Amino acid sequence: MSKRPDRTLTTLHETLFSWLEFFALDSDEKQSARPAKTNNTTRGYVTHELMPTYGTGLARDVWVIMGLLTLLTAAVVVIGLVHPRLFLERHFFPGALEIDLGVVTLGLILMLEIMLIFSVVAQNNRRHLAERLLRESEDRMVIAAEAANLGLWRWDVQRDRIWLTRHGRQLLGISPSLTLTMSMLDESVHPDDRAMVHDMINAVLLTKAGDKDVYEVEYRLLTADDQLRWVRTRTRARRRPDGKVVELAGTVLDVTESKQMRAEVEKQRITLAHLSRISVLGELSGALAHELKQPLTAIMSNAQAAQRLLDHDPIDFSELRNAIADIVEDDTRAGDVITHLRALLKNDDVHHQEIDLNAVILSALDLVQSDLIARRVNIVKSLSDERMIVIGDSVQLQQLVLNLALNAAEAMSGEAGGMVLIATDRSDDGSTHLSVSDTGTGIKPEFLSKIFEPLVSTKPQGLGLGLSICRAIAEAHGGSIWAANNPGRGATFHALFPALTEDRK
Amino acid sequence: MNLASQQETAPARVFVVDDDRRILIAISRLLGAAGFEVQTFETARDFLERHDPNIPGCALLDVGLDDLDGLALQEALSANNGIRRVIFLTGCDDVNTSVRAMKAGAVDYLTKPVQDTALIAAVRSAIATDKVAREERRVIDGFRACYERLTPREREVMKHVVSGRLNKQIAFDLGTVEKTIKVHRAHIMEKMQVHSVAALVHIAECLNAAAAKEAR
Repeated sequence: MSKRPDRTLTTLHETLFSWLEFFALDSDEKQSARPAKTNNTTRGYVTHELMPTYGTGLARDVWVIMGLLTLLTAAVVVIGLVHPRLFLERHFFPGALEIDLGVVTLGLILMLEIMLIFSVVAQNNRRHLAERLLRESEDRMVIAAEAANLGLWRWDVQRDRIWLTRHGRQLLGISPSLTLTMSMLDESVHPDDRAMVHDMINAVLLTKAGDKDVYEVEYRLLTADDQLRWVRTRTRARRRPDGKVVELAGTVLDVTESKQMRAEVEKQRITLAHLSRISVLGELSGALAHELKQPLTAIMSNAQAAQRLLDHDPIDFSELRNAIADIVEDDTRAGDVITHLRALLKNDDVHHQEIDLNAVILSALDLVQSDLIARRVNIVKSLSDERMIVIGDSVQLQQLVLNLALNAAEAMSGEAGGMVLIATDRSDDGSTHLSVSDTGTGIKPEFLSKIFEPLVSTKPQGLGLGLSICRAIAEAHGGSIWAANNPGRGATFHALFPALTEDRK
Repeated sequence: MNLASQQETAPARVFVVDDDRRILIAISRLLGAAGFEVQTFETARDFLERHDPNIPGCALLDVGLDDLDGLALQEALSANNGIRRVIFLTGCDDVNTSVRAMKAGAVDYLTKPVQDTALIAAVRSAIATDKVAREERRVIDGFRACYERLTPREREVMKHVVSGRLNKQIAFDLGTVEKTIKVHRAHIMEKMQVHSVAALVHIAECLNAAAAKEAR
């Protein structure tokens, strides 16, 4: 009799504990959290929930209380069986109190345990319901995120564990079972983009409550199967009440395709631009031939003159020297023509360098000085005192200035005392403004709109390429070009280049 | 007359017109080395204003001149007095341009860059034709001067004589007597400085041809 309550209690406890455990641990934990738990001390973690589980902690408390109650029961049983029997029965109430005390004590303890169990069960049910609702809303969120091709992630900063939705793992080519840490993810970031990602993470970690809370960054990832993917991450910090950032959370989006599409579109645009340049290549080669024939003619005649001068007796050495000097100079001229045209025809991206537009103008004017003098045109420069920095290609910019200057000079052909004014200044929004004005006949209004189209020329011998090349160059530099007639006489050509952005300063 | 004859005997000169100053210098250096006298002009206008058509020689013109197209310049020259021989130098080997140039009477048409041999041959040939033309013109001018001295009646009689009519036929046609026609004929032969009717016929033909040429 004395041992039975013990056995009964033990059995009862075991049953209750297994039952409790069932309620205390939800299905997710049973299926997946446990193996992860076993790894807790070694590395990473994975759970499928968005919110941390508090069920585990509570169940642990119940276990402690149960254990204490069991110890208490055991103590009562021991006192009831051993001490009271020896003490009470023998010295005070032989045979009288044994049953009463033992039964009452055990009954009280059992009642306490049952009340506790019921309260725990009730609490568990409530929590279970809340968690189910939470999980459902979480599921909906995950489904929505998947539909939007978004992966959701969370990084526990202290423990350095990254949780990532299945879809997110698919996006990044990470196996669902792999435990993720930041250093693993960091390794898969493209080396060139790592610094940028680090900067972003540090920025988020250093945020204070009330700062900008969402950080977005695009970078390249090298997946396990060595594929390069473009990824856009939005990040937000989660803070403890004391403001310390404990967790970063956010979304991850695979933007590889849209990146590729954009790159493709850009490539097509470049190809198209090149094609349109090629389409005028026939005309251009004519222009090139003409441009080259001039210096070649001079070279040929000077060389043959030199040959003839050598046959004279006595030899006119000064004339011979002049002829040879002219050959050298014209050869340089021919080389320049080729260099300039090649630079225009190459399907290269613009070489982005910082270039002082004023210096470009001065060097371009050097090239056309003799031409302008022959045309009896005066050049007036009104260049800004500060350096007019444009990001671009000096050869192309020089070509632009050359074309505009020669164009202006040609507009006044035959008139003595024509004037070309070349000016640079900084416009209000910081962009660089170049203007080339002439005192010629101006542009007929019907030509103003199409003067920059290829093969449109107002000159009988014109190919209609000079200004279209100018426009191509201006646009390649992110700028614009336009023409307007002056109030008095002549016309002015304007080119505008964008202001330098902050990171280029 | 004195001035003109001096110019006629002056050495031939090559008038080079090109808007590219470097080519102008190179070509004139080459022609100078080959022994020609050269005068250069950078614009067509300048050339038309300054060049002396009485100096023998030829013009070497760039087709693509800025202020006046080379071909238009040639037309202006032809209209002037039609004597200046023109060689064209061009950067573009465009058939239409060359056909027009040749039709307009260019003696040659060269493309840049030009070989010295071709250029010098063309210049020589142009100067030679210029010389022949100037000689012809000098003769014709002589004939014309003689003809100018004839009276209207004598010119009328001369017309009949060179068409091979007899004195009495002419007298009949003009309603006069044979003796008068004989006197006219003697005056004509004297003024025209010929001794035979055959020579007179030749002069008449030359004058007709020249008049026809000028009328064209």
